[in-house]
Amino acid sequence: MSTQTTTAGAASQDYVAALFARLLNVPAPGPDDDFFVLGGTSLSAMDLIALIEQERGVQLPVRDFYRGTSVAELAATLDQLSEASA
Amino acid sequence: MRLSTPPFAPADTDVTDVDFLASTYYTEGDPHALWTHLRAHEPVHHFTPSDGREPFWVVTRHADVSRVLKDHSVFSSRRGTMLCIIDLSMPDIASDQMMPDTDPPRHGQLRDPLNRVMTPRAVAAQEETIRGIVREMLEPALDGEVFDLAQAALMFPMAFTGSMMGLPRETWDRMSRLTTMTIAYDDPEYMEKAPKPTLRQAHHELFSFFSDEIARRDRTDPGDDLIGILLRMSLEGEPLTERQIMLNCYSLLLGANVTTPHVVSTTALAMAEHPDQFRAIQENPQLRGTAMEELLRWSSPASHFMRYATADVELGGRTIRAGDPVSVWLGSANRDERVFKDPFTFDVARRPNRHIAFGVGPHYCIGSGLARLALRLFLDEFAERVEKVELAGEPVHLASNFVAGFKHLPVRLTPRAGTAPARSFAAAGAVA
Ligand code: HEM
Repeated sequence: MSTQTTTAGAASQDYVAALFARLLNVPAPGPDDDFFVLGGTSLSAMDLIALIEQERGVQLPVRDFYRGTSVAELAATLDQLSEASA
Repeated sequence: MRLSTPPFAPADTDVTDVDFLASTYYTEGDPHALWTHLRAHEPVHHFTPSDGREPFWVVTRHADVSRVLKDHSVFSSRRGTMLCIIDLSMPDIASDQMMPDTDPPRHGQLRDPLNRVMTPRAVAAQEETIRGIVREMLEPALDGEVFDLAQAALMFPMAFTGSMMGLPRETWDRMSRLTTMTIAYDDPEYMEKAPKPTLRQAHHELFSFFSDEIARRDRTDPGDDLIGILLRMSLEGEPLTERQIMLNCYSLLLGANVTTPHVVSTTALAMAEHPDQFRAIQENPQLRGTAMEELLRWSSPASHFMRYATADVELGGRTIRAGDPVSVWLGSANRDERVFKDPFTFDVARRPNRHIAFGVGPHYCIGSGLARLALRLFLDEFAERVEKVELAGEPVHLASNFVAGFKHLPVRLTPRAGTAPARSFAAAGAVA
């Protein structure tokens, strides 16, 4: 159970890191790298949320997104949301 | 911002200690004393934040402020027009896309089609709708109990602008709060976590509302409201992108929401402080036109705007370098002794009144016709329905370096007995 969560968490972190890299044109962001410190704006954040919905089928409410905008925090939020809808 | 009035001692003001970016300075400091000092001694002042943020100029005289706003070839809007960019060290995301952040001639392509439906003549059609909104706002205040007019006023422009834009009513409450968050991002009642995330989240949520609304429209028949017009507009021969539409929706709503409420609150406050002048406008409706202009001058809700110099230029005896940000202070210009006789006297009959609360030049407020109509209807209703205004507690100011405004204004209004509802001022021939 705990291993599973870790694996799921790691997978989400890889996904979010790749997404940041793609959207913001930066090489390999780490878990603590923040979307806005890497150059994100409220406009690119809209793209981020749209892509997550398209690719993952997860609807990420704006307010949940702003609760934590680093790779690790956003991955955790996504895991919570997918669990809740599963 | 606090509307301080003399007696103060402007000569003693120590400019070196002032943080021109700190919102608390405008709520707890004495900005009018500072501006009076600067107008006299250092009308074009250079300010360097102590913590490495970008230095900028502070321009306080009416003539210099007007020159900066008019001369777009030297003072450009393209890099943004509000100090929050420097305050939060965030680059502007709307350059060349959003009307206020655009210079002529491109600016005209965004402005002209919207302007056609926002002239005083065009907005006159909104009179009955807005009068209804005014009555709804004032009705609960007329029961003789303490009423927070500032909170009620925050929804006033949202209601008429929301309906002119065609935004669903159920979004108005949240949108109104979000627009306030964008200008009071470090006010404890509006901040979420920290200033920067507050601004970003507010922008993002507002853009999402607009994006949903755009998605709902049929592009071939988008409607005649403001969003419909944006959907039919073009820039350099191309239809506006969704981003451009969102950003221009944002600027319309922000322009309306963060300014107009504070003229409403200032009206109640000024009338409580000057009962003789309140009596004058109650008894003499002819005075209400000049009274409204004086309330705009007195409140100057948009405190500053900003431009970036595109070339080296002399202003007020100083040399501004190409690339420098230049902030101009409308609240100060509107108290300039060189232009206004007894500038710190509130006078409902003031004439002439060359205030620049709506700015001047190519970006002159596109919503001024609408704001004047709404504020005039409010003033009529207020003068006809209210006998007496009393303050029922301390006014609480919004923490903002951009907006001079209120978040709480507890008042007690005594209704006028047996008065007929306000006459239509259009019918009375007062529409300019
Ligand atoms: C008392 C109320 C208002 C005040 C004091 C006010 C003040 C101003 C000022 C000073 C400017 C000039 C900005 C600059 O030079 O960069 C401006 C522009 C603008 N205002 Fe207002 N405004 C008010 C109401 C409104 C309303 C009701 C709307 C919308 C319905 C609105 C929308 C705008 C827009 C879109 C601009 C940009 C125009 C451009 O760039 O050409 N404002 N306003």
